[in-house]
Amino acid sequence: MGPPVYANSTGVFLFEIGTMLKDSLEINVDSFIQRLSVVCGHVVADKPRLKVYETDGLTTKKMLPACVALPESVAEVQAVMALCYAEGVPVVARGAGTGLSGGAMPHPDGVLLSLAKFNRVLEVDVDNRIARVEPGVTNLGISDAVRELDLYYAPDPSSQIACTIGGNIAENSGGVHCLKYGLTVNNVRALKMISPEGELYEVGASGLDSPGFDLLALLHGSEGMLGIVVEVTVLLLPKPETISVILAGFDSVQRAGETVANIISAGLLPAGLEMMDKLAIEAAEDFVHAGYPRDAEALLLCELDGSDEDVAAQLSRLQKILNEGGATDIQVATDEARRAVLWQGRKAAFPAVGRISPDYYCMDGTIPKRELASVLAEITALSSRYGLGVANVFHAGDGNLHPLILFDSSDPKQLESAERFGADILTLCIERGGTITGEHGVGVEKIDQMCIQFSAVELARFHEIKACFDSTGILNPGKAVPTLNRCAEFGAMHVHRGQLQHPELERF
Amino acid sequence: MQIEELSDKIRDHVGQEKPLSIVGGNSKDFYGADLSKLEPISTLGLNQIISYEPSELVIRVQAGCSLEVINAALEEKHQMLGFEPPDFGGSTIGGAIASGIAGSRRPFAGAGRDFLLGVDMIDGTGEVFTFGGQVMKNVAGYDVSRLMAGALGCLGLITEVSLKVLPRPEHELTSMKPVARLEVLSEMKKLSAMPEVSGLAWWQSNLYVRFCGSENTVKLRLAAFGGDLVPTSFWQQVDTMGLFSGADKIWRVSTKPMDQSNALEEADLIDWSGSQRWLTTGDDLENQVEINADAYMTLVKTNDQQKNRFAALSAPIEALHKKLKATFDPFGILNPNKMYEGI
Repeated sequence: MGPPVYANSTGVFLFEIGTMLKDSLEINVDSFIQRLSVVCGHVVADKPRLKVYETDGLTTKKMLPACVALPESVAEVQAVMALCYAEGVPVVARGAGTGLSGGAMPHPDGVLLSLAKFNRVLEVDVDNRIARVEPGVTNLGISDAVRELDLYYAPDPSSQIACTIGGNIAENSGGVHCLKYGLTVNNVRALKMISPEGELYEVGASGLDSPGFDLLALLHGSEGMLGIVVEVTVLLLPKPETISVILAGFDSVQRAGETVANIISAGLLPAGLEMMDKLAIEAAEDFVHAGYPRDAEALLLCELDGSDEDVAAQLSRLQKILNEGGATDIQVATDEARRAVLWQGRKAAFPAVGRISPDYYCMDGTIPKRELASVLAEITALSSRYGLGVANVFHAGDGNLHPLILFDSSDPKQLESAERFGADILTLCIERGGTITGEHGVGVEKIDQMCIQFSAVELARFHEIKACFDSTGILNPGKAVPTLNRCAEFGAMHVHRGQLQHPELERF
Repeated sequence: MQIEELSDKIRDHVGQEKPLSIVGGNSKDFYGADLSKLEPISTLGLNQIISYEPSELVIRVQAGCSLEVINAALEEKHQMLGFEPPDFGGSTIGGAIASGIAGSRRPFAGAGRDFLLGVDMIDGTGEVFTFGGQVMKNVAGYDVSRLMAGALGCLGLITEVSLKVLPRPEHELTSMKPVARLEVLSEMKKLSAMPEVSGLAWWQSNLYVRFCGSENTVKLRLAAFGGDLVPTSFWQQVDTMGLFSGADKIWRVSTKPMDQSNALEEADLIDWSGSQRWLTTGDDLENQVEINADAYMTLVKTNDQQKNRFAALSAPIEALHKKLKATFDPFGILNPNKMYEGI
């Protein structure tokens, strides 16, 4: 018999709960919450207030937790973990709940551990350009705290006003500047962690490396499955002297894609290189009036930064490439106000699409850049097959696609179609040599597609790695890595580099 | 040997309970415990560049491919390995990643782990795995690729890596001028804030700076800095410890760039804008040099059989190392005790 399966009230979503849970848990909920309240000052257990926590940014997946703990100190986190460990109670960590893959979706029999009260910047070390912050500090909050020192924290996911640095580590978040400045993992120096047993440990160092295995890297993007982050040391960068943003329209996605390849081949390394398709351009323009070319089939937004002299030199090379690539409507913005307007359309693309459709489903696959035009053509074909519109926003520089599938969640059929459409896009990404998630994480959303991307031995190894950190499996059970049973039921087959195993067998 | 043969060899050695020493170009045999008594398992049969597309900024290469071959292929397209792995003579990309040793560009561009997109590897039971991928962003599954970087082969034999590459700067020139030891850190702090700096070291009372960028920018920065031009090969000497020929022991201190502790007074060479300091004098340095609590020391090269060359791990971190070793190499077949006893 497989592990038990749970469904939420609407029956929309099914997922597995780890097999390690104690059967007697339900009976003891009240007494457990009492004991939890003794070690943690802030515990929420009444249903109306629990509703606040039932979902993260993936709003189609909902679940009420047994209770929410909001510790205020490292000692409280340790005590909460020690209690949950002793009782075998699942723990799901949560930052701001802006994640898009359901990584912070609560466990129905577990504690939702909110790090919201860990919201202080502890130390800014200007000389060494690092800052120690608590995990609940927002991404933008770090840059705000050091703005007057002409420093900033580089990774900037689009939710940066709200998302927390702890969540950024869990997802290894990116943003529009990672082509040049890297992901979260490239910008964090050290972490203080709490183990499931409640033990405090440190990984990394304030220098550039630390002895032994690179556990710091392993913890990035581990989706709350390996430990609880309670302190983060981030790298700060000096603000660039000059920033220029260039907008260029194209009469085809193909041409825009070729121009991206030409920019990179020419040796330019833009701070940001974004692409939008026609539907996204129109939605953004209707919403924020950024002056985007409505008649263009695709547009590129390219940001160059550096010293005055260097940006000037890069800009003249870029303009030549854009002209040769057949770009129309080239606009250059160097002053901050105009730059902000050009970026605003891109940054508001998601809410802009939200205005033209009751709901949208944001996907997050990555492909080699050369596959861009053909993948977008296939997405268009899928769009007509499923009868659902799609707007494409794309971190073109690093091959990260964000198709936004338009649907109406009040129609259960449309929700189902949107999810199947999304799953097809992810499979397409793997077939083209890419991956199912560039920066949003697997969570509950893409767990089935993990069966396609990884072989059984690789998935088994992931489970073994989790067991090294979390021997009883109480951290975020059922997320990020599917059980082999689940993959067997899903019926998907791992395709290694586009080659079927046993190609001699007939398949139908 | 190809991947299947390597995997078979590891399986055979599990059966015979005979550990193996993973060897590429054998150019860094000085680093970590001496495993020369163990039977070697060589990656040199895996010497192909699988794919390289300059417009993707990605190269996929087999582990035994030499840095020389890779650098030449990249150079042709005006690109480079951003972490500038030192070539100790025949060094391979597998060794560069597994050792975690990066060159002088490290503080300005990143280390090997920062450019690593994916690895293919064989674990200590002969099982073959693919982790990560060939695209710039990938957060599916745990980041096992980066775990392999700097693990000195103790968790597996890397057979292939995919790396992000960088465009080579249009121009790059190095200059030096005299700067006193006690002023070097504040000079480095000022210079490292400039986006055009790609090398910052101090050696024998001189500050060495490498500027990169457009021709015009480099010219302007050089004029402002003053000093005398030196050949770029200076950085290769720094990266390969060529400045310390004849030293019996070479220690490395990894610390915050502005660390003013003893490691400043004792350092022979300060690199990485202050974050990496090299000490060669004295036999018993670890007992003489007091370093900051959050800094650590490695005995990189020694002419004796000294054990414990790597800084001690805290108890919880050591426990995690042991568990990961037991997961990836349960029979202790791959590079046992290379970094730490029992790992």
